[in-house]
Amino acid sequence: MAYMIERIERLRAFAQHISFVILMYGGRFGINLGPAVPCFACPFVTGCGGYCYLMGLQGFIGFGMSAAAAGSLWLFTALGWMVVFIVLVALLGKIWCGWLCPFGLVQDWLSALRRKLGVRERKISLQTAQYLGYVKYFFLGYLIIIPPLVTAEILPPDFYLPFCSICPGKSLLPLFVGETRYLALDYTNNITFALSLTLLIFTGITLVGMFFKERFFCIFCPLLALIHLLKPLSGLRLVKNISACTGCGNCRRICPMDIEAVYLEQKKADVQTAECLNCFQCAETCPSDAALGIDFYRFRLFSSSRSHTINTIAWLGKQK
Amino acid sequence: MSDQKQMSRQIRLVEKTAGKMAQESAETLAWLRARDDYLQGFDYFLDLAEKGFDPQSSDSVREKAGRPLIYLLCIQAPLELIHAAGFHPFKIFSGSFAAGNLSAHGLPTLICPLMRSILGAMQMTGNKEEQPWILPTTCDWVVKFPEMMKLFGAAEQRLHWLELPHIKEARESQGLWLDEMVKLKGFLEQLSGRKISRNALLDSIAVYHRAWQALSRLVSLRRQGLLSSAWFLLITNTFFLGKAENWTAALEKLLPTLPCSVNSAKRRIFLAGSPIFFPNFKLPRLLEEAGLCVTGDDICSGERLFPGGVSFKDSSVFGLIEALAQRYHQGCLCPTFADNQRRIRNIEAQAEHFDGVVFHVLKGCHPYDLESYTIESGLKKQGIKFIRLETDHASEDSQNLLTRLEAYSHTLPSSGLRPPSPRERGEGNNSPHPLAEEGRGEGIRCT
Amino acid sequence: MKVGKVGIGLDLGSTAIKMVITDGEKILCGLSTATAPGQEEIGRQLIARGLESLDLKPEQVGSITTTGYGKKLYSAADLNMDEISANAAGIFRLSRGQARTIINIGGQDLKVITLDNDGKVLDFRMNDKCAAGTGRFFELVSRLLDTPLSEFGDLAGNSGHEVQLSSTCVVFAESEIISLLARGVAREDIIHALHASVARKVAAMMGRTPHDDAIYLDGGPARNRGLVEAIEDELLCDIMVLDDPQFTVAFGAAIARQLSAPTDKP
Repeated sequence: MAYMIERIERLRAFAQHISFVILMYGGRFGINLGPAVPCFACPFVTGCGGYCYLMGLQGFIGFGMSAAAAGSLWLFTALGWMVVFIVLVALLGKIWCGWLCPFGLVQDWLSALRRKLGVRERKISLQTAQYLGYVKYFFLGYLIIIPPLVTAEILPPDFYLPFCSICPGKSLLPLFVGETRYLALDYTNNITFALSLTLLIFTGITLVGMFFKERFFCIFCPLLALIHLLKPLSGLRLVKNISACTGCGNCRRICPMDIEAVYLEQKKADVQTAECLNCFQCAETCPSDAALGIDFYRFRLFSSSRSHTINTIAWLGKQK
Repeated sequence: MSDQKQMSRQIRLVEKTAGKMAQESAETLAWLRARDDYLQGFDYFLDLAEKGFDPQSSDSVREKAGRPLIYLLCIQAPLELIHAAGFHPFKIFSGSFAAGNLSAHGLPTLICPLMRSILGAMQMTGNKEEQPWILPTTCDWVVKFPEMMKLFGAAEQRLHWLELPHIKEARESQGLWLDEMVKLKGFLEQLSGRKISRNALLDSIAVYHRAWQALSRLVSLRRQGLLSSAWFLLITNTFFLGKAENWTAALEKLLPTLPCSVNSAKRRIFLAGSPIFFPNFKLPRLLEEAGLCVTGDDICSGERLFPGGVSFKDSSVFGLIEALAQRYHQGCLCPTFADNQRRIRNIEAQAEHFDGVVFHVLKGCHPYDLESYTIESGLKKQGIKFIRLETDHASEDSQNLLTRLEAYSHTLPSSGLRPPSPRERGEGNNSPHPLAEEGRGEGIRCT
Repeated sequence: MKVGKVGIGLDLGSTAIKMVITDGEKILCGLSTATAPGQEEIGRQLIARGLESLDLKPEQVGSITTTGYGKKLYSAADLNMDEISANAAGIFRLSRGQARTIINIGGQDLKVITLDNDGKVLDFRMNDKCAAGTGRFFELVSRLLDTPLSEFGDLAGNSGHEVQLSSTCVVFAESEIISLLARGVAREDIIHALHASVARKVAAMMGRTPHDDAIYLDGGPARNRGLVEAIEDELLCDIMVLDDPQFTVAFGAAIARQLSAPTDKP
């Protein structure tokens, strides 16, 4: 592996791979974590070990709004799974994104490949990134507004699961179990054709983007937006001690999401932004003692330190 | 006066100065060698200082480094990049008073003593060869340095300027600096006649990372008061005088042999401000005489020698250059940058390791001089003890400085080097005057 | 004389050597002489003279503490301490714990020392290598005007005309004073201007140091009433001067042994 960080980063890679195996193949050996997994455990992967909650949410909003659902056992189950989702987010926050998401790992693999080839990462300019940041909220709004319209029969049933039908996770993740069928155009009718064409275009953009820019898809991920909206419930925080920061810029450079706020923040301690994936690479490469820390409620899980950075910092000389 | 007379006079002057410089260097080295805490492991660095400080130093450095030299001022040009291009980065310095006197005529009275000393020392070699230089636009003295150099008859030099943006946080500045780094790469490639490869860059980063690791270990020993500032400064001062790998190896060999006993009577101080250069170890000497022990510094010939800790993820050539650019620019605490809040914070953040701050101002070093006031008010608000000492390479004010340092050491709250005894924590301390406390006898010394 | 052990403080300054014998509370005897080569011998003579005048035997000397630039030159000292700490200790004791700010004008130094409620030095400022506003400056002017320093205070009081000395620099003030004399400006006015200029220097050094509390002026020039008034004018507050202000530092040194833990003479 070209890029090597001791401890946290190794632990993260380990967790990502374990999670990948469980969430992608768990069903094949009898593990299923249910329909409320707060990451891209894609239900379109045959034999997966859990389902992405975005699907559950779309279904819940769509069918849950109909008269047939009122007072039914289905509604109670759906509500129960929503509670499970909220509890899972409250417990682990964006650990789901940085540490457990299978689609995140696929993106990291592509980035590793890029590094191996010595191709430079393309950064998105600050202003563009700011606008692109709103796209995930657009998607979130899209997947919440469309299903009730389908239920109310304003839109045709082909719009059922509106986000899944354009999600690159749906087209790419099933490839890992040998399923290529979601990479095809659906000629059933004009709407399915349009949606499948959109999916193919998104997939193409995402593939290219993921290679040249780390965690490209995460910029647009509506699940990240949803988890961020639940931030007040979660106890996991990236915390900055402004007085200890020398402003060296390591955190910004290392950040897969190119977050500026951790580097620039001069006032408040909470530097966990909407884009943050809680991968904690910033805390690990911060060379100032106790400048960045990871807090879980009141417990300090990790503090940055020069001595930690010395031993963990990325340097390729040996790995060549 | 005829030209010939003028020439012979100049030659005699240079010879005389060379003798004085050698004497200064020999005195400092003898003082270091005669110290109680001398260890054999220091020999490598003493030897570097002895040879490297010779007026013909560039030859010695070239020989030791085994590569052609690139002269540097300041610490903003990435050493890794220069090293990867096959050169040895040689940061020019001199703390010699005699050399400063040689160039005193024809220069403003209130000039940075370091510049004066460098200009003097450079006259010793005649400086007739064309040399590649990398100069970042830090302070006014550095910006005007090449012109002054010419004034003293130096040959046309191959200058490469780095336009240093002074507002570090601004995105435009960072973009500009990245461009400067790409241009620097071009300059180095043109000099060497070959491309800087990704592997060479990674190797160089590894070389300096290893040096930084060793330096960091030394720094952590120093935090505990285990190392005299004289030795620390000797080690950091000699970094550019030989191969970085050898320096690292010598330091790694020295580290396990350093003693682990603490002189508990000493107060710990943080040394901030202008750099201190060999052979002018007046300040470390006086600090020790006053019973003060330096446990940290933010001077660019000490702990800020080079930024180190270059972390990167994008290992393409561009990614590495970007990482170096950011590390050398944004991590730098040089007072020539606008807004010194981070300097103050850097001191505050380390407050547990020291009892007070000594701020060294080289007379004529305006950026540090100005900052001494803002830092003083910033630190005093936090209740941190502060003293500002303005001095130069001359030794006539030693007594004045010592008096102040001795008195200052009495004003320091208590020595953190000493494990607090139960008696100290409360009762039983009925002495009427702070000087009456036991173990504080550094100022009132039995003779 | 009926005292037990006495403490001796020897202040080997840049222009004068001061010697104080104390019982720990007050100055029993203070002697001074100009600094000259052979400080050790001068010090020894001063001590001998002092002991003689008080009718004390050498065995009654508890300790000898030296301070000042030459503190290491007197080999028979039991202790030596820096003059800032000695000054603080001396004034604090003599003012019975009243002093919070000390302005010391020495032969070559100008110091401002702030104390906390226990007499501990909180902060201090001291001139760099520059004799502006120090005793040296007064000596120079005294020589130029051919007037003994002891008359300065009275003469300044008679000044009628306002003239300004723009410089406290010893070198530049000399030429300035000569030109003033050439213009026929009266001695009194020049002295007055001199005091004002030193007062400005002191005020500059005080800087933003809060000085609401009792300010004590000491050092040789503190005996000059005109200077004290000029400083009061400049700082807009009262200045206290103790008797024998030139001996306060030596007194501080003399009581050092009392303050420090008893140690045996090495």
